[in-house]
Amino acid sequence: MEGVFTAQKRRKPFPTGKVIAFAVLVFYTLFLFVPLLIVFLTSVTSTEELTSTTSFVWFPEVTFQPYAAVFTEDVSADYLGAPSLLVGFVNTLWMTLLPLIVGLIVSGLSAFAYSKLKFPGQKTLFRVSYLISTVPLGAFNVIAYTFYSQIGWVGTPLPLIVPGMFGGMGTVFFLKMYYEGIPDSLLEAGRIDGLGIVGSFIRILFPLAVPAFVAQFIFGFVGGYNNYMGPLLYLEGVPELVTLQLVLSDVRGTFPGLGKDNIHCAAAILGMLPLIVIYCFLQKLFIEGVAVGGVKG
Amino acid sequence: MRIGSGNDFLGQGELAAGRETEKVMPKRKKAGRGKWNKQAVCGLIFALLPLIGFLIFNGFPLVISFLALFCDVDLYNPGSFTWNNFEGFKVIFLNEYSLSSYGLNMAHYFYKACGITLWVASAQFVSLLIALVVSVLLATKVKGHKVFQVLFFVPYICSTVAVSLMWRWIFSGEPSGVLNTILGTSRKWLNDPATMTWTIIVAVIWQAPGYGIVMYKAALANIDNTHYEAASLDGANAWQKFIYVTLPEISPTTFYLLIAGIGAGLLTYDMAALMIPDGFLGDIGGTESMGLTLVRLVYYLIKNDRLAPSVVSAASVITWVLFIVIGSVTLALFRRRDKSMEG
Repeated sequence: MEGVFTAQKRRKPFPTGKVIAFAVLVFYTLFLFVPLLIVFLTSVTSTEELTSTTSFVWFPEVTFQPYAAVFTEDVSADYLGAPSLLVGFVNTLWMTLLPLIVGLIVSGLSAFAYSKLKFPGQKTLFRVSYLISTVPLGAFNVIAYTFYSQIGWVGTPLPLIVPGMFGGMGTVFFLKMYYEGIPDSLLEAGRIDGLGIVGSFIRILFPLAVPAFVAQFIFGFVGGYNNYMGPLLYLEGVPELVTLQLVLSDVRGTFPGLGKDNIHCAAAILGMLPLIVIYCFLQKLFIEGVAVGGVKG
Repeated sequence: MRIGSGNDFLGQGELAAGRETEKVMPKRKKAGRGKWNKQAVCGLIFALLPLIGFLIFNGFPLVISFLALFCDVDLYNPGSFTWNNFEGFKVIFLNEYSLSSYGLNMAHYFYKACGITLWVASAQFVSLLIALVVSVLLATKVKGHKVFQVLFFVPYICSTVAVSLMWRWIFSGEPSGVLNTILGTSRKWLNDPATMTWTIIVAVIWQAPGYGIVMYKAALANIDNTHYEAASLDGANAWQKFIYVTLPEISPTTFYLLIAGIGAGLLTYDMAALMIPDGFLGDIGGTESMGLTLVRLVYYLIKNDRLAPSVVSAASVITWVLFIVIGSVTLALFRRRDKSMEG
């Protein structure tokens, strides 16, 4: 567009660059979605068709029987009282939502204290918090098992729930930044109207910071919903506390036998479906949330 | 570990820390209760809660694993630490020693896992490059860029477990496997030491760039257009603009993605363990341990605590090796960035 154009040169030159860019993006889209399509194809193929050929079934006679089989052919359903996928889904929901919501409230209050209240040692505390939170401690995730084992929390959902309830320092920094865009005069006005400290948080600050909370909530939820290593470390061998990802990781055990790959694929799709559906409705929030969740400035 | 699952604060805090804010709630001097009025108490409690949680749930594991470097630790008995004469270090670093005391050559697995971890972690650089190229192409506002953007983010919300199921099905060793059908082969991709590590890398590269694309896209959108106009006036072509305007402008994002990517890469567990499960006894991390990452070895040791009294000790040694490596890389990158910011 910024090329040289003169009065004679009316017609646009052929946009070679844009065509190449488009082609590359289409190619990348295929790389991402052909695998997903393959899983979908298998999930609508019948077991008979799968076992009757020695090559991949590209054009199956579409059947949704594998989706039904996810709920009817589950070998642990008798023991659990419901299909594992459902039990896993319910467990995942409460084990994710409980720490996430409590944690967001705690982080929200903490950010409120740092940005809108005054207390002794405020700046020092914030600096210290920031410094220690930059230390990359991810390496200790597995060895933390030793600690939880010694306090008797292994085999309970506590290691997945309690730490999250204290909020996260990253969330605090993020919310603090967001609060700082909210004028102090609003809180001042609330105080004059007789709102207390907690009141001004609930009535004034929180409603104005809802988008920031939503962004943090979505990412906490995606992380919790997809968490595999945590449940594996602490809940393995406790069938009634199984989470969705643990069920999916053991589809070969839950649906044993030959030619059950269609059921495995159907289970994988059902497992991903809730997030995909939410994403379809809230794509903008998801994408913007990631963008603000990372580097600023 | 995945990048960006809700804890991305690098940068934010830094910005917030440097910013002075005016506080609304004025001190109620008339109350006359000195420094400890209601606001101060509430503020301190609110502010401290996340820090307390952090210190408990990161501090204790850190201290225990530090003590475990030199002591045998009982998983079921808090506070039981017995000096073990560097047993953990010997088991992890000395080949003959670990074979005689564990019956398994842990040192061999450790060295193997170091190589595999670096190999798998290199997929993060490829992901970063893909994210950069794709987001720059998206930024040219090519037809349908908004649709592409929405599509490219989908892998990020797919769980690693489901993604591994998908790729295991594609790489299935049966003749009816997808890849085998396409290529007309009957290769056991997931069991053949020559290909198994690559299957992990393909799966990682399928999933990882989505996050980087979103981050780069936001960074690219923030570049002031006047920079490009100035470059045009100086006669810069598209490539020169990319090198001299775009790359420097998005370097904070690159820096952040690099740190997050290196951390996530060196701590790969989920995708490796799901794509290539442990085999029988000696096959930790699959055939010839070609899918064994360091975190998987830590996991194996912790979960097989009957192997020897010093398993936690050995696991701690690997954990600290990882921590020190990731910590120094992060520190070095921070230093480098600060230097380039001064200059």
